[in-house]
Amino acid sequence: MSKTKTILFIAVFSFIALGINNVFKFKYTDGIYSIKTFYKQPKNSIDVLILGSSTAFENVNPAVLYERYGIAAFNLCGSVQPVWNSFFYLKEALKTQQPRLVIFDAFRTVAEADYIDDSRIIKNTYGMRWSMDKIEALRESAPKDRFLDFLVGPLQYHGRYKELDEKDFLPYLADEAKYKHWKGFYCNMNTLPSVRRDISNVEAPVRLSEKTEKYYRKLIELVKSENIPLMVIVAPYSHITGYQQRKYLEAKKIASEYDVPFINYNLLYDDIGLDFKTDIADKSHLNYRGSRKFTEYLGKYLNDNYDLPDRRGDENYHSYDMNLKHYKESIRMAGVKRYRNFKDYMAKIPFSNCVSIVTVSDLGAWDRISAETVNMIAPEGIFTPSVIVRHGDNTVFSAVNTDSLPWHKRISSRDFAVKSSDGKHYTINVGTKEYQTVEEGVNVVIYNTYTNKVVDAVGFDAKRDYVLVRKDSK
Amino acid sequence: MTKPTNQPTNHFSADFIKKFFLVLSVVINVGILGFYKYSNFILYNLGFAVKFLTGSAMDTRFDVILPLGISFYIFKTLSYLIDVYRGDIKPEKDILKYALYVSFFPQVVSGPIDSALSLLPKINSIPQSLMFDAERVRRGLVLMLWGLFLKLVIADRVAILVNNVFGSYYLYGSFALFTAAIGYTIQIYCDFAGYSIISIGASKVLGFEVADNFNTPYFSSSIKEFWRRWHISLGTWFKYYLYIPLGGNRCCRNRKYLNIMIVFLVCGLWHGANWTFIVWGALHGFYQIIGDFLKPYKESFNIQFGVKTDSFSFKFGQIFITFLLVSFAWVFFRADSVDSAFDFIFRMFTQIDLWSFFNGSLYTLGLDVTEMHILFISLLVVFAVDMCKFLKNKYIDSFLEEQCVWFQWLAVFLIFFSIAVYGVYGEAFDPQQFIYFKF
Repeated sequence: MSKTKTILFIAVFSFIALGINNVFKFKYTDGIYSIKTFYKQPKNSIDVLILGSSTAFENVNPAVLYERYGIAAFNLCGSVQPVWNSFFYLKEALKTQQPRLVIFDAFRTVAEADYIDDSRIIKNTYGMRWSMDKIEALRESAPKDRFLDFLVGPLQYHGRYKELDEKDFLPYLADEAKYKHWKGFYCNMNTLPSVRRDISNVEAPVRLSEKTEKYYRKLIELVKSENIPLMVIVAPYSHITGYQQRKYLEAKKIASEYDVPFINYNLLYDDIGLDFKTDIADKSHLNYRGSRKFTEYLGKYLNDNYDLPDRRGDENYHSYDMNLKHYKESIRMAGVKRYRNFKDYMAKIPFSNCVSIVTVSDLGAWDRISAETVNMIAPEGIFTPSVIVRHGDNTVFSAVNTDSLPWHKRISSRDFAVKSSDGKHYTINVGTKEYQTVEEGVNVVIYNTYTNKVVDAVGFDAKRDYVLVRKDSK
Repeated sequence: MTKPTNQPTNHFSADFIKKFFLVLSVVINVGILGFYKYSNFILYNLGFAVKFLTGSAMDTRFDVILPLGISFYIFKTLSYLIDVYRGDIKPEKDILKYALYVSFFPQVVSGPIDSALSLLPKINSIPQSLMFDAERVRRGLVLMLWGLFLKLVIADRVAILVNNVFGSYYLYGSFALFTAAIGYTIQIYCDFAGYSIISIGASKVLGFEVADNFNTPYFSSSIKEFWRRWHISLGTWFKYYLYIPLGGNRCCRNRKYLNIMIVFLVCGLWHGANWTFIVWGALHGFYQIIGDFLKPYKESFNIQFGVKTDSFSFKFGQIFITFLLVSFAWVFFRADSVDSAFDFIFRMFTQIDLWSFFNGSLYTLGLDVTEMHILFISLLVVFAVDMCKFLKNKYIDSFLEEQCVWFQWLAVFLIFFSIAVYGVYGEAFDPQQFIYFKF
């Protein structure tokens, strides 16, 4: 009996301990979750493995490679990933995948320091499965006197109790539509108009740091030893410097020693067709427009120069279709924010795959909206104060006063509500989040039922001639 | 046939030799302690005196690394010497057993200071104690877990607030200073008692029963009672090896008060080589003397005014006042210098900011709302556990042993995982550091 009790105690204890550990452990998508997702890919299903830092996972989009050329690629990258971590990620990848091509983004060959900041050490190692390689990766990544601090994960993450959220408790980081079929790409929606820099005249190469060169060579040698073609690239970014270019020249020289092609796309802006006013997200990354242009250009090169099968239509690559679908839907929804004036915005409602909630709080507000717009939003006619909820083309709820409020409905596993506390003004709820962008005027919330996200929450302020106001939820 | 006339001479010489070796050993041991722990302090004060008298500075730097736990094992060594001298125990012939007594690892870092009279017989019965006893091991582990909870969840958490306020007390008003003083009162109890309980638990797991070192000290009704409940092994040590040899209380009142003051001054100095500890000791000595002096007046006052001394409110009042007096003294114990302690206290009573009770200032002292909630809930648990011990004389291990298995498991899991999650250990997690795109 006592033995059974002990075993049961240990079992319950282990169950709780594992559960707590799973909740608390880091799940950052810029390093940890990408390799976690990588492990879930079917064995030998990835044709192009992309290694590197954020310049790789934000600039090379596997969805576009698949859409245009049927290439099955995966971004196995990490934030500010040093070359030694790229090497260990590659080692890890080759345990389950035999890619037809490895692309290594050489952005981090410019690094001088032997150790990066703690968060990046974690992001580039903690996602790896336990093995001697992971321990070796930690040993190389962490400063010698702090190796144990990083080896024992809970020492780092047990204090996360204040930042836990649904991502830590639900599968796929509570965003199944995105992460179930994710291929490691981060789609940057920012735009930072930038100035193009010319580095074509830079010549003298400068030595890579000892540690970087050591692992750069090891990475090349490992890929070569597996008879896998390797391509070293430098993805385009706006803030490239002459000194960095000198480093890239050295990296190119080393690559040439191994007959490995090296392409610095910062010398090919015109060929790619990059517009620095519209295609740049920030100093190191392209935005969704730029990454599409660059990936299409890269994809053509890959298609022309490597033996890469077209996986489109192959049942086994369904997840690539789903990844592409999510990408397209995200881009379409990002487009909602392009409409800046009341008339254009209203003209686009209802959006497909969306729940659109429109409330009009200002008495007489409808009078100032054209009949055409009113008909588009509410074909059956509506008067102030009023509310209308559309799910795609269907009207789910409409009211010309607040008598029937609060209104609540569960659509696509999400709760929606419209409430009014004074009979004149409305608040819109999506789950527990409350939206009321303007007090007097028209409030709109658009929720996409595929991506399960609030796409936009805007208000048109009646006091300021229906100018568009966009702010975060309350 | 023995010559009776020779006996007193032999006795005398034997006593003399015993005493000689005792004094020699005590001097050597205290000398070692003094050398490592008090050289800097003595030199600093000497330098200060020389400068005061002659006006010229003296180099008083003396860098020596303090051996870990030296105060504890020197006191254990002294205890052994005195117990042998008094004939309370036989000299230990086995050097390994003696070494085990002095360096008994659960007690090396911070006690309890188990006397030779108590621990050596247990070491001599090691074969019996090593018999595996599941209940004993279980209770030992529970105690270790509880000690860790006190240390990692409470002491180290409240320390963040305390260090913050004590570190820049000159910026804070009464509210923060009182909070920090109470905070330190909690911190030092949970820290020190936590260590002791871990040590007692570890000893229990190994088969050694070690007596309590802290018996709900903050439920004491007087300072005298506080010292019967706080760091009991140290109090007992001082009582048997210093207070009683000085004459204890079997002498005139003034001599008794002097003895008390000597004991508390030494006790203060034992805690550290700084005037702050000496003042802290002196304050406790003063509390005791005043308490003893005023006792007949208080009793007569209570009789005259018909104060119900056995009522809950009266006892609560006594406990509350004792707690405040102890907290006040801890300010000296925690402060970096006597000057800053006085300044701290001066500000406590002059920088009144009653509005701070209402404007959320509590959450700006180093612990935010979540951390404060964790602290409050943990303190409630400690209060309940201590209350159980105070009222029923059952500590957490005994209490849990009497409960049904499911409750035992639940309690153990809650304590363990609270430590794992809420313990202040490892890297301080800063979500800001992990925010994506900070590159």
